[in-house]
Order: sequence, then structure tokens, then C-alpha cells
Amino acid sequence: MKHLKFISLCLFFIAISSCEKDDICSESKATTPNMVIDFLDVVDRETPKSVTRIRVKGINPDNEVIAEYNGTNVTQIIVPLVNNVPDEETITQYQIYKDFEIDDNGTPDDSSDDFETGNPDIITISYVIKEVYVSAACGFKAKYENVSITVEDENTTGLWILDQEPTLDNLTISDDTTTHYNLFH
Amino acid sequence: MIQQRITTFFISSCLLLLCVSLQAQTNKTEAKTDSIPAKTLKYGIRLGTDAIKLARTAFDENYSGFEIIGDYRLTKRWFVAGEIGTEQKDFETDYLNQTTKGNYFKAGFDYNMHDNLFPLDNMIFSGFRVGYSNFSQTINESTIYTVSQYWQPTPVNTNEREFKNLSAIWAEVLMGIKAEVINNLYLGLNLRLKYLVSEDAPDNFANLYIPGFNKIYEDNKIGAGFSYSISYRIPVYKK
Repeated sequence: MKHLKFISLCLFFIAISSCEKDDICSESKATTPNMVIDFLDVVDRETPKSVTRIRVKGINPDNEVIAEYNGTNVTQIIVPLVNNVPDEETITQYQIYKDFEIDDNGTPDDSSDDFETGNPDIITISYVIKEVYVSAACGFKAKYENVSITVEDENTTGLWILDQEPTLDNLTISDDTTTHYNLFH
Repeated sequence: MIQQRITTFFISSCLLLLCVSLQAQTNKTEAKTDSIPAKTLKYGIRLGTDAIKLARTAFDENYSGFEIIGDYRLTKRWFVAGEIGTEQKDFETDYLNQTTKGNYFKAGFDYNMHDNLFPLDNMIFSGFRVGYSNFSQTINESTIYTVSQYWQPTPVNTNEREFKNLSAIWAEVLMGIKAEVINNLYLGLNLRLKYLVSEDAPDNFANLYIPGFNKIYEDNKIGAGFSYSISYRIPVYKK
């Protein structure tokens, strides 16, 4: 008789627990890292130097300005990289303005003739993507190998980013807890 | 999912009915005097299949499987028992599309704890098994998981990656019942707790499912399962 009760009870629990745990990627899992870029003084190369009124925007016809970096003063930016199929060289481009401002052309009420002022430079980040397994729910995250940055001027205002260097040779980005690259200005 | 729950509910109901009928028998036992002559036991191989696997194959588009179960009476209470089967399971999320496919067998013993009123031949049993599976895992598609939605969409990696000839060994304990519904035809249900002893995991990936073992939860060696058996005893002799 005891056995019967035990079995019925077990069955009851199986019946109610048969709804599977949802396969949702937990937020506590470390997934694809962002890139951490510090801005340092070009003369005293160990001192962080704030970029005044920065504006960061991904170069892609549809991309918007990154909300955290729209006219703020920062010494560090954390930006996501473009993901592609693994093992191929991929690039991400950002337009970074220093001293960004919108000039209202003397007509504060009319935004149609406004224009942007400041000094835009373009950084091109190139890297090779590797897939790293996380879990069933999260699938794979990316790891970026052989990361390098090149800087070019967008118009005739001249480069404001004067030098760049990775924090490590053969830089690999596998988490976003430390700085990956330094830009000097 | 809903179909699975309906199946589960149906099976639960069947089991409860079985319990009730077994209970009725037990009560009768106490009332009878033991004036019944020459109690004999039926010996012979009992073969059957797991109806849950058949139902899931029919209703769950991500699953197909078939299992043959068998046991043979050694003594009044001890049976040698085993299962052999094949399963295929697909796993699909926005980030991963994967298929596990393989065969397995399990061998062990069942012990009947139930005292039957002659000539009934029902079982309330517990048992154990050792299981072995040989399987392959294929990643059909993968998409890198990112929290940031800034650069979208992420291209899908459609490069198929197959990990062949993987294997796993596990141990199971089970509890169940089996009732003879008509002469030599048995219906039964059992619950199984499983412990994964060893597995070959693919490089930079993991076993999400092991045929015969069931779904693998992350960093967890414990699995569970239950089956609803329909089996027939091919009578050899009585003793």
C-alpha cells in the first residue's frame, strides 16, 4: 500500500513538472563582449584625457548615434562590434566627433538649415571572429582575434586622434572588463 | 507542448486507475483464506514498447524515437530487464539549431515488491539499469548571441558541423508498476532517475541530449524520464 501511494505521488509531481524549463539565455551569462576604448593624453601617455562633447555613430546608413555618447564628455567608450560568420576578417567603423555641436545657423526655430560642427574622425576596427560555446539557451558568443584600429580623417578638419595602440600585442577581445585599446589626443 | 501535456495527463490518469485496481486486489487478499492449491508462476520473455515514445514521434515534430523493452523472470521476485532503442531530437532557438541522433541500450534488474493474489501477475517494482549510448550531434545553424542590438542583424552561420561517434554511460534507478490487463498482455508505467557517469563532449560545444538518457541540463549530471510500457509475455513454461 505504501508503494502505491509513493508511486502515485511521484507520478503527480512528474505530471505537473513536465512543462520544460524555458530555454532563455540568463542575463548573468557572459556573452559577446563589447570593445573598451580609453582616451589618453598624447603627451603624458598614461593620463586619461576627456573628449569634450563626443558623438559616436556607427558607419552604416541606418545606424543611429549611440545615446550615451551624444554630446557628453568621456574618457572611455564601450562599443559593440559587427558580428559576421566566424573565421573571416570583419571590420566595424565608427565616426567619432570631438567638440560636436549643432549650429542652428542663426535660426533657432528652424531646424531645416541646421548643420553639424566639430571634428569627426573615423576609426576602423578590424578583427577575426571566433565562435565560443556558452550554453544551449545562449548558443555561441563571439571572441575577436587580431584586433587592430586605424584612424582616418573624415573631412578637412584634420585628425584629432593622434595615435592609437592596443593594450596587448595580438589583441584578443574575449570579455569587456578591461581596456582593449588606447586612443591618444 | 500542449500535446505533450495532454499525453502526460492521459498517462497519469491511466496510472491512477491502475493503482486503484491494484489496491482493490490487495484488499481482497486479506479477506481470503489460503486454500488455493499449487500456485504457479509464468516464465517467459516479455517484450514490448514504450508508448510515450510512439506518441511523441507522432505529435512532437522535434522528436522521433522507438524503444523495445524486454524482461525475463528469474525467480518469483527478480527479473532481468533491459531496453534498446533509437532517438532523434532537434533543438531550436533563435541562436542555435541542433540535432542529436543515436542508439542506446540499457540492462539491469527489476525487483517485484508486490504480493499477488494467485493467479494474478501484477508488479509494483523497483529496479536499476546501466545505460550506454552512441550518438552524433550536428549544429545545423548558429547565430552569435549578443546583448547589444546596435549592429543587426547578425548573419547566420549555416556551416553544418557534425560531431560523430560520441558516447555516454549512465546509471538509472526506477520505480514502476505493471499490470496484466488480459492474458499475457501488460500495461505499465515507470519513473526513472538517471545519473550520467561519463560522456564525450564535442570540442567547443556540449551534449544537449543523449539518446536514452534524455535532455542534459547545464552542468547537471542528473536526468529523469518516464515511460508507459505495453508488453506481451511469450509464455515458455509455468513453475
